[in-house]
Amino acid sequence: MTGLADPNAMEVFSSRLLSITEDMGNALIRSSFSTNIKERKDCSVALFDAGGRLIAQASHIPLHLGSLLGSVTAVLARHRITDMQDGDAFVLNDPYLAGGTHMPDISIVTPVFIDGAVCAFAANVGHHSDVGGPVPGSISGQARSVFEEGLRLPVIRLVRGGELDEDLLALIAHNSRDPDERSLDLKVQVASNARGVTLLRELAGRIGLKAMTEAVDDLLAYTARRLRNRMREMADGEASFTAYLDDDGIGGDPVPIRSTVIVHGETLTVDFSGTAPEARGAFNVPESALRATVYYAVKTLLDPELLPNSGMFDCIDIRAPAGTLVSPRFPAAVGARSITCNKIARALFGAFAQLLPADRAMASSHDSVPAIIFSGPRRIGDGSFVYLETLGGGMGARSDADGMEAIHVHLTNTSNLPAEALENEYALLVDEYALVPGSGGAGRHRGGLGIARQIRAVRDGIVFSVRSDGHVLGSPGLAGGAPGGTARLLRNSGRPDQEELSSKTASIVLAAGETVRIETGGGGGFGDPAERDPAARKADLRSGKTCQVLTEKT
Amino acid sequence: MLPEFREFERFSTTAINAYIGPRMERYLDRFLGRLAGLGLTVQPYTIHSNGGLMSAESVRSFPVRCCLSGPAAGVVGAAATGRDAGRPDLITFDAGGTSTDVSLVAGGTPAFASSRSIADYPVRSPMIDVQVIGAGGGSIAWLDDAGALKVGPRSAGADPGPVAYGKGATQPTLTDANIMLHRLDPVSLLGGGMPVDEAASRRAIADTIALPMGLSVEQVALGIVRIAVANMSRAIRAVSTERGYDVRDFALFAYGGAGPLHAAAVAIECNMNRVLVPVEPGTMCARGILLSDVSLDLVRSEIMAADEAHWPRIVAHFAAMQADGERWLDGERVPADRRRFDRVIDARYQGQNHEVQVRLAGDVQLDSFAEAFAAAHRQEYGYDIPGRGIEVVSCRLKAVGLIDRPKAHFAELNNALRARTVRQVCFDDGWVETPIYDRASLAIGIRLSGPAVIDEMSATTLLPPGCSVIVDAAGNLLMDVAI
Repeated sequence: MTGLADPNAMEVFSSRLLSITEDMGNALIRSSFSTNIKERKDCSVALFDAGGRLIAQASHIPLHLGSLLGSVTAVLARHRITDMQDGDAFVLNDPYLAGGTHMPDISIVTPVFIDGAVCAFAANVGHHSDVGGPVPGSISGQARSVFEEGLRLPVIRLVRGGELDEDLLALIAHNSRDPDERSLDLKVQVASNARGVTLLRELAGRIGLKAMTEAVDDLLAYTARRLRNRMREMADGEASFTAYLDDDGIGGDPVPIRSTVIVHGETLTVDFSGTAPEARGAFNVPESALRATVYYAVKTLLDPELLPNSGMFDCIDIRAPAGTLVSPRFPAAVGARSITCNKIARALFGAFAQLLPADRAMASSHDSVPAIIFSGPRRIGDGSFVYLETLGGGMGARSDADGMEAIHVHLTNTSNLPAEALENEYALLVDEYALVPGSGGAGRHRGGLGIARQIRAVRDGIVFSVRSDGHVLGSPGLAGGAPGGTARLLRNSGRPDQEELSSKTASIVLAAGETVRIETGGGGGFGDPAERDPAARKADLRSGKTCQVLTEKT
Repeated sequence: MLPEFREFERFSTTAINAYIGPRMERYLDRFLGRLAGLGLTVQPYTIHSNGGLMSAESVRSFPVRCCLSGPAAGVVGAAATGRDAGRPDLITFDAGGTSTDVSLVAGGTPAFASSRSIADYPVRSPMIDVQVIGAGGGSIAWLDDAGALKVGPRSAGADPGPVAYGKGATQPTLTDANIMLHRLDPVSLLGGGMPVDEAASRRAIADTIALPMGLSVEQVALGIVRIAVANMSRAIRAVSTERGYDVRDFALFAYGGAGPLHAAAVAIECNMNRVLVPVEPGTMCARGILLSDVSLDLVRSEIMAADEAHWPRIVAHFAAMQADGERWLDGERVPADRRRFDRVIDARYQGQNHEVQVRLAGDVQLDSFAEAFAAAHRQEYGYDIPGRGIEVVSCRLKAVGLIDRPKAHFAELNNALRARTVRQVCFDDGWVETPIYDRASLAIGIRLSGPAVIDEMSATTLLPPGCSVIVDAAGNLLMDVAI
């Protein structure tokens, strides 16, 4: 009836698989050394079958959704499974050679041997805080090619039959500004997969390999069936939406990202024809990151509870013309892809909004990942610091609610560094941390407000860089809603020498007493502003979220 | 409200406290008024989310400290019961009608969290770390449109409840599956106080799931239970691996109305071979309050190096908090010989952003602190870094007033082991004739082998074939599970 071999066993198996990935993820996060993996949880783990199909994933950030698929595909393209031996593990990161998403994301892929043959793969990816290159952190919006983005790793056998290649590990580690951290975290990544191998073997021992294979097939078939049901519920049709980056990282005009979503029966095609050619800077999106973005949008809009596995991925046809921003050619730089991915999400949400019922549509959010980076001497004594923070902004309004204020959207989600922690350790003071009044797009439901954060140097020689976007164009509203406020960046705000800076400012030096103020964008509004509930309008005015002038205009 | 660094969490906690204050105030006034009306002259205590007791006056000032205090009381009771039963390492498994609460007790001490999200807002307050998942007896079993059998997360709750309760429900629940399999009494529950309609459960499972799937009702009912057990087990494994423990080193402490019914299956799924079912498992949370002490958490936040130069400041913080604690215990009318002070330092290696909690045994000494910090860091993260500087972030003092515990007492036990009745019960391998015992009839020291069902007013314990149980001196059921 259902076409599945054993639906009850499948559901139990699914819980057990998720439990294994959670166990691997906990081992990775608990044991890792770097703040990035341990505290920001910028990592993911997954299990694959011997054919390279993703069967379960514990993803801590959406930008990793399905991105390990590229890693396992690359390993299988490089080595036949019959050439692997029990206890091998592969290390890789390169977007062009090894299905990576950008250089700091290093994957470890481990074959799982059961009864003498490869039956599965355990894989994980962690964001390493530095993999070399000209700038600390290895990400610069101005990088012109992958050769400026740190160490490139094709598929390399790091562990051979249980024997870790210490020389190779040292080579990788010493191409980073923090070799100890690299070395420890890579060992932890290898160990997390080994944990997955043990648990998967236990499970196979318990239920038998045949039942396991059957459950994997059931799980993927079920997931595909479920997503195809969601597609069938949509009317056949085609819709496009174009989102823009302010520039290509180096400068110039706004850069279009066009997505066309085509629903026909039980098929879904996403076509990026009409998107700008690849960028001169590092805002290009390699295939794995593009896939993650599309999978994220489809899962969020069509079926949030859908399991992220190859059953889902295989239902979606992604077309990205070569040589564009979303399908760059070697050696285009890709380090700063996260801002572009959020803009791709905007283009997808905008296209889907035309095909889905109004209650599942939302106006555009700030759709950026503004990153501010300060470095310089510590507050007291010797030593230097590097402080990187990515900020939230306004979320787009929905058909039944205002957008949330000051929040990360779409593919990223990280916590803020408390002002109290920052001031204690670094030679910086937070002058202001606030919502930006009036930045939410007007509408029947208002867009969320952006964030203002103003930081003052208290010692000379503080170096500041930023990667931001949406300084030129605000987040579009929907169904008659107004766009959200644009982002901006000011040096010495309110002083006679106040100066507006570009959204991709690199390495300016601040003297003691100078400030940098970033205001992130607001979300777009939903519906005609004239229809806004007067009580909500009053509440906005009272709380200072809108200003009198703005309100009168609407 | 929260003299602790990190401005957002501090602000959020203060705002939530202010938000619930007026409502708590009205509730307390009504509650205390009615107690007075009943002629009660004793000062009532309430339970704190850290598992300690506090006076009604403290609750008025800090209502946020009551968040999730009910489940915390159950964990305190479980820890105390487990300690007395020689099982200090437990995973608590409290399965009720709509949710299952899971937590970890290591060495007799519940695991604590310093913050959690409540209604999506961060609240920082020391609390027992209880994980909640949406799986319980009332979880609805349903067939999704792609052919998978799902259990929950929606629940039939108390109203309409399971189909068998005859309150108009049409969607079968986990409880309906258990009634259909005769694991629960198919005639009546609550010691005969509530009739159930087995035929209605069977019909609902047949109509909504078995027919469309082309399976027998037994296969579906077994599937519902197995799926629910797999979901619950996932939560249990997560609380242990998150903290770096191996679940196999722990006993499963099962309570709540649906805990003892699924405990053996959950233990098998998690590779745990010991289960403990306390007396009156359905009222463990309420009784846990009687096993709690009064306590107040105090905190002073100041980031400084843990070295000889700064140590006197740390000692001074603890002295000042102890003075505050003594004053609070005076207010709670705790006599001097019933007072205890637990000291914890939140600390981290220089350069880290998050702290580990270090319990100080005895006096506040730098050397013993450094050793304890390294050990705590190893437990939390799997390693320590000899030679790296340590930073103190917050000093915490818990002022405890020890409360006299009620002695457990039992009705006169009957030594003859006699089943109340026998019925067919469906286990994983099919129907088996199974003796049904009244728990009150099981004498201390008695050993039973599965299959068996042990009924009592507030819960049903299922003993599958291959498992055995012994009744300990306190009346707990200690189950050995065949894995």
